[in-house]
Amino acid sequence: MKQEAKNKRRFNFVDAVILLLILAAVALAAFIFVFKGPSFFTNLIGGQQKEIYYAVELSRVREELVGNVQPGDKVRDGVRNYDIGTVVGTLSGDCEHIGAAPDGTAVAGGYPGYQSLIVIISARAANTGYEYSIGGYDLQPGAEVSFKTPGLSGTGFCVGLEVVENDQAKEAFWESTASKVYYAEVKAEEE
Amino acid sequence: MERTKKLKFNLLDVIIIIVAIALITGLVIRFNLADRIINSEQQARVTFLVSGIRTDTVDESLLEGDIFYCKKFNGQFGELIDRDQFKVSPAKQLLDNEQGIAVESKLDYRSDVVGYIKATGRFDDERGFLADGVNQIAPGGEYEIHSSHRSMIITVLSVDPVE
Repeated sequence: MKQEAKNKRRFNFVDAVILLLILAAVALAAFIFVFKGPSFFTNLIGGQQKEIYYAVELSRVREELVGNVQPGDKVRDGVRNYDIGTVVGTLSGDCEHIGAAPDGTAVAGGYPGYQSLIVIISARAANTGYEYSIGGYDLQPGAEVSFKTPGLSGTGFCVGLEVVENDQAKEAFWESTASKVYYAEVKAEEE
Repeated sequence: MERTKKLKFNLLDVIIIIVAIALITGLVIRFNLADRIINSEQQARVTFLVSGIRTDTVDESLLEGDIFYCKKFNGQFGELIDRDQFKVSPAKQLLDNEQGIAVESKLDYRSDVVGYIKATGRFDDERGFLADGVNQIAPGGEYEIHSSHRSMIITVLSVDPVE
């Protein structure tokens, strides 16, 4: 009888396997829950999260789709499906097209039916030393961004990124981004 | 007597059950599975554009009821509908004139077709329409789709719920 009770309490191989499976499942769940959230990953890489504004330029968007992006829209990365911020606003201008004059000189003009769209996005991000990490999505100016909102999908480039700690910084970012918008006709008049 | 004892729960069993329930609950919440199951049968009318398709192949390539699949999704994109409402026009192409300025030209032997596909999935407040509850279809997106007899690249122009 005593021997039987002893046997019952002893861990056997199956128990060990079950425990290992549970530990693996818990670790996996923690990874899924926490890794994709902003805190764990960014803390892991040693950064402190700050609010950033960044601008993504989609250089050739069909005219009728330009109004499809609205402030408040959630933005997702189209490749890995990361949540990469919320739309603050948009700026649009002419789509820049470079042609060649008969003498071979470059001629800048518009592209009928298409516009250039700059989307300004707000996010919480940590500085990793050489780029910013938005919940594990690494970003720096010049990087290609596969962009998805409920109303528009496309690929563009990050044309500006700043930490915005106050309203003044936000306004400054807007102004500097607005200066990047291309207007074919205005340029032509200036020339 | 011995049999009754064998069926008794021990602490390890309780822990296993609690952890399993917690895991399942967590996964349901994390991936919004309940919403996916409940709302997976909404339908959307996807307006698309095929640019520069050869005019003599338009009729045979786009047939009412054709089922299109998407390589990117590795699954069904939707069913071609309202074939009689398709708009077929000479293909537009932007070419440089002698000053190097882009101007619109038309190609007679190629066509631009605006058509409609009925897709099944669900509408999500944050992500828009998700085909099969997973793959986002949004305006501006380009998708390579194919039916049993034709492959093409489409640009999505709009996604509207089917009433």
